[in-house]
Amino acid sequence: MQKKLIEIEVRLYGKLSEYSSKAGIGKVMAVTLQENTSLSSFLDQLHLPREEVKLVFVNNQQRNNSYKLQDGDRVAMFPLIAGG
Amino acid sequence: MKDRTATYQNFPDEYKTRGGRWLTSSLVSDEVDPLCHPLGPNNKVVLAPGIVTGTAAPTSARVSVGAKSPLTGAIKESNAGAAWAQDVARLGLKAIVIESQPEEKDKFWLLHITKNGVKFLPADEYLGKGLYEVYPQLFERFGKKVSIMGIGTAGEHKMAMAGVCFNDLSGRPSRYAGRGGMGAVLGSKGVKFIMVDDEGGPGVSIDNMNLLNTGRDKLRDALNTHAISKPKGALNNYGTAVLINIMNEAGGLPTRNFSSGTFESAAKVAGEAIFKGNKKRLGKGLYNHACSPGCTIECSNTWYKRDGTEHVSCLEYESVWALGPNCGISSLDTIAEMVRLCNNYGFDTIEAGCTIGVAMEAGLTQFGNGRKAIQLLHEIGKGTQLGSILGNGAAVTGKVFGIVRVPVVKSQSMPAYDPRAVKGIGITYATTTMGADHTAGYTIIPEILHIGGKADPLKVRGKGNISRKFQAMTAFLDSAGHCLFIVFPILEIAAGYEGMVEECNGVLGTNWRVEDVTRIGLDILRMERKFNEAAGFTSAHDRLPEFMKYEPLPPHNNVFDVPDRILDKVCKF
Repeated sequence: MQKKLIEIEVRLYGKLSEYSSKAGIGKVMAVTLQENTSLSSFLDQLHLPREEVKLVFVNNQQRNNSYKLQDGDRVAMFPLIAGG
Repeated sequence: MKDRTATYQNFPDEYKTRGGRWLTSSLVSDEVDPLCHPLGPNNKVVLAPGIVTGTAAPTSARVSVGAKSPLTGAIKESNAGAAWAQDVARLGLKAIVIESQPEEKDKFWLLHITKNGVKFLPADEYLGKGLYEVYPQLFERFGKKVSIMGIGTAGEHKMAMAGVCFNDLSGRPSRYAGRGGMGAVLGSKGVKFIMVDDEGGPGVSIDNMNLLNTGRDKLRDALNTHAISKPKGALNNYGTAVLINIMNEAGGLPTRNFSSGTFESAAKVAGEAIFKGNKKRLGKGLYNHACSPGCTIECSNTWYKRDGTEHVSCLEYESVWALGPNCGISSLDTIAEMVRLCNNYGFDTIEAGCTIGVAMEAGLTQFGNGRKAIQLLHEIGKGTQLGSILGNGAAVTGKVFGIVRVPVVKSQSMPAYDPRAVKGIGITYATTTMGADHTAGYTIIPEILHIGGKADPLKVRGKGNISRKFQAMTAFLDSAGHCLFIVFPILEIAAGYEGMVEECNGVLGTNWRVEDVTRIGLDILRMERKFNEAAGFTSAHDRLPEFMKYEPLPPHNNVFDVPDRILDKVCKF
């Protein structure tokens, strides 16, 4: 049976935005994926250097790589940053 | 200041290992009546460089300013990075203590400190003027090599949001020991400026230069290799305002007077937008600069106008947030002008932004109205009747206008992390001796940034211990004289942490180990708490404002649910 497609919003912040011509800092990229795609396999599809992705938020909560993406998710990725 | 005399005293043995916050809090504890009026004759202002300040230790040009606070009524230390700190240390001075008040009302003085002593000069010609006008005049008069500490009109008016302003490396009036109204206490003593010239000074007395150098090398290596602090690293690139987007995505960016945890225009005012905006206006990428000599992190930014001329330095995270998202303002140019006015009039940007947020809540203007917000800042700076109310901070403003949603602890405004979305920082706000203060125990490091450990920001478990640990470590760092930002590398690079302790041992001749950092930090906190207890503070004051317990914060719709017993336990050590 063919898997259902879902659409998510992705935002790349800091230096990560430099890895995608479509990104721009904080600019919304709409991405279509197969249902139940994990964050980890989605990251593989993005062609980002994995070691530079330090924090991933989905709908305002930090998630780990096993999280299964849902339709309408807001995904935000950050490199290692600090301030205060 | 009563008869304008300066006396030099030998450094007492009991204080010989103390510097920075440890020293300012010790002197305030030992010499200031906890029940005195903060603006009366019996309060004292103590200014002390850190233990290693003035040596070759990296990122260590810090000065602690201490007194009983007119904002909180509690003990206060507020610190800043500035060449002034090094210059005081290199004159061989461990602390400057300012006592009593001039008999003549509204008379202000300029103190000029050199190796030959202290001169008291009238400051009348500088009163009522903006610091951007006055600092260049002072450099012209006293020479480019001097360092300036000053207060703006807010300090002259003895307002509780008045900070203490030090010049940066380009002479701008932009480095603030902002918090707690220390500028008002200086104003109450008739001190407008303290100019310091270290020419010919004896330098810092060092017990073991080899050990200091060993420690310095270890810390410098840690700073230079960690991704956050290294040259062209995260802080150098985007500045501290890089936190705007991450706090927004975490749902903890206080927006429109702490009524939401996300701001729809966050990306427009974030560190990345500052970098991009400057690049567009200047035609090239602009990297950040050091606030003080010897800093290798270089996180201070500058914002440029459309015509390519400088608008202001520095757009720090807390300042951008307080005057931007917290007021519903999404224009970097407007925020830059507001920061410039705070620097010019001598306000703490956090207290100013939270006060404007409360004023907006009260209907003095609408959220997002930058033009009116700027007008309100001018009212404060000029000391109009309305300005005099607002100039005393968010707590006073809330009371005057009957507002319940007032984000303060011990009357001090909260910084840029909503405690309902980040529980550990709420514990710090509630329990620190300082009133709501993020730097006092920066749990954001594990809760949001995941540096040196991880903790879920929405969970309560374990947060009391994390907050206490950070509060103790910070008390030590504030005393050593290092910028708090060395914490990012030293939490992950053990040799850097050891190096920081070895630097102190090298200067002082002590035999401290890394384990002693927490012990000494807790001793400092204990002493500060003792002062506060004698000033009338109890556990009932170690609480967040009530609205945070019943008003859920979107998007998480969480309240602050840390039980009182956990808050009380944090303070028992």
